[in-house]
Amino acid sequence: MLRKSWLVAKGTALAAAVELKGVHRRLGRSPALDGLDLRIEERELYGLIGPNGAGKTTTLRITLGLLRPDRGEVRLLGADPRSGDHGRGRRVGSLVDGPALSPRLTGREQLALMARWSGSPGSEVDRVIRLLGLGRMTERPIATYSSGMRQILAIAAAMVGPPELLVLDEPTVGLDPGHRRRVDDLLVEHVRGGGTVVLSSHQLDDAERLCTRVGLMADGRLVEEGPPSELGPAAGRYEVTVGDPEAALQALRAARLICWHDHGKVVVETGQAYRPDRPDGSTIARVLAEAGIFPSDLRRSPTLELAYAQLTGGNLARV
Amino acid sequence: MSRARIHPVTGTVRLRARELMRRPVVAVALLAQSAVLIAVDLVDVVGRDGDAEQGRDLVLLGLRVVAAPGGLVFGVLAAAVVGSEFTWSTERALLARDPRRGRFVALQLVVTATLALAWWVVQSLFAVGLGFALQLQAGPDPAAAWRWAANGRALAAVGAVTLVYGLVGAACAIAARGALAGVVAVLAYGLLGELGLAPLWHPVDDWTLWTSATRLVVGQGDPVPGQSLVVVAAVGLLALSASFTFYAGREITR
Repeated sequence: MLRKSWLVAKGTALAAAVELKGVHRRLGRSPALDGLDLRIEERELYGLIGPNGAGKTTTLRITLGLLRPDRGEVRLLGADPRSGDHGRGRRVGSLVDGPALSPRLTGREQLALMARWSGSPGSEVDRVIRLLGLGRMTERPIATYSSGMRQILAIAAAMVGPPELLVLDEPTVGLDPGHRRRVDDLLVEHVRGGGTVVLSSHQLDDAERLCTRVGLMADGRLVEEGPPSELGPAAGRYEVTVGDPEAALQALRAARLICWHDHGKVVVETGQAYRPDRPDGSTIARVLAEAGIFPSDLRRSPTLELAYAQLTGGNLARV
Repeated sequence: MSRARIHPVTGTVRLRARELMRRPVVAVALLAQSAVLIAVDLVDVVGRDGDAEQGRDLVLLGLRVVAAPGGLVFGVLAAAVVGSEFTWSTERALLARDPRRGRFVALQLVVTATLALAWWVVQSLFAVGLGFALQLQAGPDPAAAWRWAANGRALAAVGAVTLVYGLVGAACAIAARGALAGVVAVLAYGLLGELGLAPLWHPVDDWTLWTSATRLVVGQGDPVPGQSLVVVAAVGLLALSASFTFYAGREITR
């Protein structure tokens, strides 16, 4: 359970957990961030998506106070991210640039180290071990861990506190499907409990499924932002699996819906999210039912993949 | 029953100390220093021509070896230990939790001081025990083999010199931001600067940490040389302030 002191009461205006205004930062000769504006509200699960070199990790580093911006303003939980006041150690957990662990310590000792350093109670160690199902693995020296085990331990270390804000860079890289699912569920639970999560990821399906909002980054700037279902050219698109695609197309076109046949599925374009009269999944189901067609599957098209492809110009070499 | 609450830095240092006990580099440094000590004492004993009075005070000789070169060996160890925070990137994890650079440096210096205390106890006990035993073997009078005033002062001097060499090692690692670079820097300071270049110009040689350490330990009842004390204190303060200054604007770019 997250601490009551910072739980946001229902109906209260939400504050920004992270706020960057006009942030510029050069790394070497090239600009890593070029006037980045980003605001992440409390209780959001926010995903930063973009090709390598887009500035995602630099954004997270500046957010945590590991780097200073050349220009611009940064606020983390309402304070300067380089200040350690107000129990910052307990309020922000992070995993940036991969696991950073002492190989001679056992997993439990590493978690205890993080708990001590952040001023958290020792009971936090057992809590995160249970939370992530780490079990007896934590009694072994970290030097004997596989890369996936190091990753899950680093996530556990980030969750010691418990923190209000989790800042995670590629958290599920190298994890087996079981741990990946567990971490995804924990992030969602963290937000439900009143916490905030900021993550960067190349796992577009995870980001689409988990994030309440996604920011697409390119060349050090935010180029598009919004709920994952409403980003990119596939926003408002549905995929319908039916026995007789031609009959379904006929029925949908008769209802003045834009649709086409694609790889055995019927794709329905319902338009952009901002249209108030936009038809949705239930409209499509009703139109088909009236024609006596009952789809075996009806779902939103994945949006981030197309949005990402559009962002990178379809050039997978940049990914 | 609730356990007494431990200060965050104390708890962190305790865990770091536990980790240090498992590092081969610590054991290697301890063994290397002990081997040098044994060799120096044995050479001195073998070199005597039968009359114990003609030999040197082996307790003081051992403590001198613990101060220098032992201090420098400890400086190298401190650089390796502090530098590993950068090599393993654990610095990043600690700063992401608490970005205060001063607190991070303070942790490293407290870890160094704790290690210096352990080093001082182990090495001094070994030097005193070995020296005293060899002394007794050479001469029959235990009272003559142990001189409280001189040995007490030498022990205190060894402690101070060990700590200061450790601070120099830690400062080198913090400034160079890495274990290997830190070790190279402290070796350059000790071997090249203090033992290589300083003797070429006598006035400078008088003001090195190595010379001051030796003088403080082997003073043998003379008044404490003020100049040596000033040098040890000044180098310690310089290392402390350099650590905080070099790290104040630290940015994590990788």
